[in-house]
Amino acid sequence: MSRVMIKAENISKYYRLGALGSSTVKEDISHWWNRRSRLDSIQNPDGFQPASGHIWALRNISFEAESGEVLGFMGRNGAGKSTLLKIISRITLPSEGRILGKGRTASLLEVGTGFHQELTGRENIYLNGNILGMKKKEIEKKFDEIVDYSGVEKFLETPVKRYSSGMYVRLAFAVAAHLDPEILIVDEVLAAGDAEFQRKCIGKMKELSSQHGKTILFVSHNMQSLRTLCDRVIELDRGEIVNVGAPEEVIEEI
Amino acid sequence: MYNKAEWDWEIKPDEGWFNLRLNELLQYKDLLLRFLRRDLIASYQQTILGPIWVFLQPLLTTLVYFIIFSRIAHLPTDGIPAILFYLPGTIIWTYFSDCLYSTMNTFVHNANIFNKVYFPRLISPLSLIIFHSFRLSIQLMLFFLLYLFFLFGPHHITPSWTILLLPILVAITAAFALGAGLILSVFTAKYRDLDNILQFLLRLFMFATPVVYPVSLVPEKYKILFWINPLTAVIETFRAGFFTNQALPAGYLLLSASSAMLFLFGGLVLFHKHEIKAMDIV
Repeated sequence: MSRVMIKAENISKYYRLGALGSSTVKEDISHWWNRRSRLDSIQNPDGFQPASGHIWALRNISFEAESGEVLGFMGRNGAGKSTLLKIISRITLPSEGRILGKGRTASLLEVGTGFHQELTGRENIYLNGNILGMKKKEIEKKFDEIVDYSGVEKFLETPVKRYSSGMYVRLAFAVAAHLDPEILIVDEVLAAGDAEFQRKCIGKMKELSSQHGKTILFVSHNMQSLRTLCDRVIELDRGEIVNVGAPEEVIEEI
Repeated sequence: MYNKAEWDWEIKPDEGWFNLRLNELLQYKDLLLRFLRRDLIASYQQTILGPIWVFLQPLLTTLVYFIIFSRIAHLPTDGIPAILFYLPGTIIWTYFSDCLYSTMNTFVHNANIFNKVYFPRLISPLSLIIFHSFRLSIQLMLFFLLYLFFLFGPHHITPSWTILLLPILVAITAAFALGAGLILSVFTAKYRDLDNILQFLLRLFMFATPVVYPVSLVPEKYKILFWINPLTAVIETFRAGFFTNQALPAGYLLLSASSAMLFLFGGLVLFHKHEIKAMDIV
């Protein structure tokens, strides 16, 4: 039985453009003052044009994802895919709208987040695991599995700065593959490895969704991996949803 | 509409001011300890003397103060051996400025992690405060050793019961540094200039704190200004406890503790309000 695990309602996000300068301080103070006196119009989504110097990264994005579902996001560079994943991962806040969710989420927006160059492979497994939201006990329980999966057991006591980039990526992915969240958020981490490694990643994600009922939100440029992995694909363009459907339908149209 | 109880979490554009979610910190206890371990292991990698630096730093600073302020400038030390007199001020001051400095750069130093994964951002400064507290306790042991050495010497040093306040003094210093640092971190995230200004201000602030001179040296009419500084009461209570048996008026320490608490509370509220937003501008 599948149930809705995450639900986004009218997510919008705008950014302020421009470099930091002496005028920014003045602007900040007047912005803060205006907000206090409720003159700021930035709250209203309908027909509202952001002030010059602002840009919409996302407009009115709504979607749902069920347990066991792999939902893909595609679109050109700058379409807003990464911003959306960042909002879902709570790294940045939406300007409008809200997201409701169930259970634990884990974000893989990068391979080896927080890896420390001076620390050994062993220490980094724990560090990375904790950063991604695992408890110490969970990591201890899965430690041997993680090491096996990564294939770097000989170098466990070596600082990761001496690792080849391949070993580094394998170790990082091994930790990520043993996360146990209900919702997994994956950015184009897969671009980092060779074809063999990419196949392994896709296989792992498939296993997590179909056998363990996890919800996966997956961003990629790679049509091939979107097609093999996703149940549904959302196409974004300039911050808006332009197409939703089964991968064959959405991808064919390009 | 949807029943809120159905969902475990919600992401929305803004958080209230006072929903601090301190209970969430408990879930990330393992991460806090892990950061602490990382910093402890990494801080003395590729150094020859390693952790000995924890001892050497205050000793060298004290030695410099001894030469400049005692031997050359002839500042009085209230009849206490100069080395012993400078050490508590140096240790407390270093603790304060280390804690403040690392807290205030939370967003700048952690930008690469904060941009990729969520956890309560407070975990980072908290782990650093504990890290600096480790160093502090090692340095305090150094002080105790020297203190015992002088205690049985020919000097007029008398401990009083107020040395038992030491943990409270440390807590006040940490709360003050964390609170002020959290407030500043929100601003340094946006305005990097602040880093330069604050380094300068911090140095000035050290001379406004009785680190290298006793409060008795301060003219009566300026005294009130000195006692407003929470660190003044901390350092003076420390010295009074170990060196003289005259206790400081309790009001000073209470004032210091309450302003530190005020800073801490203000810092927590402001930091929480901005912990996610700050990443858009850092």
